[in-house]
Amino acid sequence: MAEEEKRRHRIALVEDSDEDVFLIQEASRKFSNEIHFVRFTTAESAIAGLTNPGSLPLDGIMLDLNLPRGSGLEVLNAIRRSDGLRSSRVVVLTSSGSARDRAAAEALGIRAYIEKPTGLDEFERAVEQALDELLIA
Amino acid sequence: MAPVPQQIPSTNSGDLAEPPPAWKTRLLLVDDDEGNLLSLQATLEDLVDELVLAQSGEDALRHLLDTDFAAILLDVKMPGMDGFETAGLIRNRKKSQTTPILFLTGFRSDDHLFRGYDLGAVDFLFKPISPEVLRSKVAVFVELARNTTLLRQNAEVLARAERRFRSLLEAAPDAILITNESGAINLANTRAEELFGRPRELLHGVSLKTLVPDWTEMAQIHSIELTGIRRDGSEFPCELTCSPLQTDEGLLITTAVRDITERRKAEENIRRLNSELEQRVATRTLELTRSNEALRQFAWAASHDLQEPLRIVVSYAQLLTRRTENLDDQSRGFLDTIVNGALRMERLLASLREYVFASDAGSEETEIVDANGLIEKVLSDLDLALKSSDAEVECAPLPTLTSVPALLSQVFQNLIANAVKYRAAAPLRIQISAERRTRDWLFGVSDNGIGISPEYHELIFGVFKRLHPHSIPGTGIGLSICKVAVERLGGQIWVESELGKGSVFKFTLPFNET
Repeated sequence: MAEEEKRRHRIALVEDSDEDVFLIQEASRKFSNEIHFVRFTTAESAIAGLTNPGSLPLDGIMLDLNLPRGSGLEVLNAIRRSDGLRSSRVVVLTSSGSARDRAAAEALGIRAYIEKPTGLDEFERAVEQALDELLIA
Repeated sequence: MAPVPQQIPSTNSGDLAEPPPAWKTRLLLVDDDEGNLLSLQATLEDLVDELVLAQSGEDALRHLLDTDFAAILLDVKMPGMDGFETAGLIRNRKKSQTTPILFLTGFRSDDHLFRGYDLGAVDFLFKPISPEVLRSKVAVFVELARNTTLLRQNAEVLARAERRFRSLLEAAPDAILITNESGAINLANTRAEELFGRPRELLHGVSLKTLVPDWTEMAQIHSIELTGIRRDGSEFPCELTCSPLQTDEGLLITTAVRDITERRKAEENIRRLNSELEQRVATRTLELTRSNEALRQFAWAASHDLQEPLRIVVSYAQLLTRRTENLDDQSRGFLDTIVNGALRMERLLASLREYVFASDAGSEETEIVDANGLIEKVLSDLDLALKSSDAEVECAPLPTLTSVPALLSQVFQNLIANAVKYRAAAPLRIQISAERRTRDWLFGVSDNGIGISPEYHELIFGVFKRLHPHSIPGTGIGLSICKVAVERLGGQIWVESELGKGSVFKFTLPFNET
């Protein structure tokens, strides 16, 4: 197992924006050095990867809703339908401010729905809040 | 076809009256004996207006050329032309054919009498003539003449009236039919002949029902639209107006028949144009609604999609700022400019979304809102800004009303944020009030800020209209959002303010009966 993967926490990160992934990783380093992100860039690949019986266990899932070729809600749906993942902790970190999206996600069961804020400090606080929900709370 | 204008004879009022003053009662006295004439004159002159004396038959005839007489007293025995001969000549003239002739004679003989009556005498008077008898007989003829003239004049007046009536009838633009109670035609004018394609002789006695089958004796009131039939059987729409008139000959009904084919066509045209217009308006409205909706959705989507790249710009600019602590002040300044520019853009986009939301023509649910609670939330949201400007907010008790809470919040939020933004040097005082009026609520948000010059009072409610440089943060959309939101709620918003004297923003919200 690679050095990285020996770290204590594995979090699936379903996010298509490289810029945001970089920011999230920067922010998470402040939180803890022990976080390893498993990244998916599309809904398809996320569903396939997450529901794959051979995949390693996760501590939590950070989910963006605005994804190419499908939406984060589809991923969430698939997660909740899969036996192994049904009870996983999921935090939505998204740029969508839609009340409908929020309601739909909450109906499927999430720890938090966080809108990506503008401003670096605010963004870092949002990531910390997400990680807190997934790992600690 | 337009009727030919007819000359209507001008008349007097046509009253049946006394004979005009010009007419005089006249007697012609014919006797060769001057003495007799004078004697007759003396007896009769007060009975008549004028006495004409003639001493011969020829004389008499000459007078008769230009004068009418009530009666002629004719002496039988005259030299030259005698009375009988004169009478014969008098009778030959048309003018005097019926003028009463009284023969004066001393001779009483059957032969005489016979001849006289044969010549058309009305009476004989035997000499010596009794003045009383003479007077009474003459009086009779004078009276007769007077009455005859009167009758003739009345007949003349009647005839004139009749001619006038006929002229009017003929000149009428509508077909006029005069019928009896059961609709049999007594009289028809030219237009009626044209309209129904028959000369009036053929219309006489014909029932109105033949020409207008749906006519009934009940159609005697006002106007009614029916269908008329021309001689060739073709139908045309017509309007009948009936007026009954009670006369000595019974009930007569005057019916005016107007061909309304043209009018119907015009009405139909108008109806068609109207419906076309309505159709066009409906189509246009639909188009506009659709395009409005499309624009709205576009604005909404655009503002969201534009948000993303902005966020990235700001985040990375700030990241750069962090990583370049050794950067010179100017370069740091440049980075700040980038960040501020992006942040301003972000606020604009947020405002744009608020504007689109506030102007959404879709029905937003109204509910019962306690405005006091609403204001508390708004003030708490703006807490930071209010504290940092040391503002004091005085809020009068506000009503509970039926409205859209999100929109109402938006309005108060923008107004109060504005008060903070545009404060003067003096500590900021904000007052919020509400007044119940007959048909609406009048809300007020007043401040002691920098105020607004009257020439801008309308301008500031326009989108992107800012009066101040960018040093005072603001998107220029806040007030236009207020306006659009208030108007959506059925009210109006305006400002009362002067430069340096603070501002009072007022808006109304009509009562919503639920």
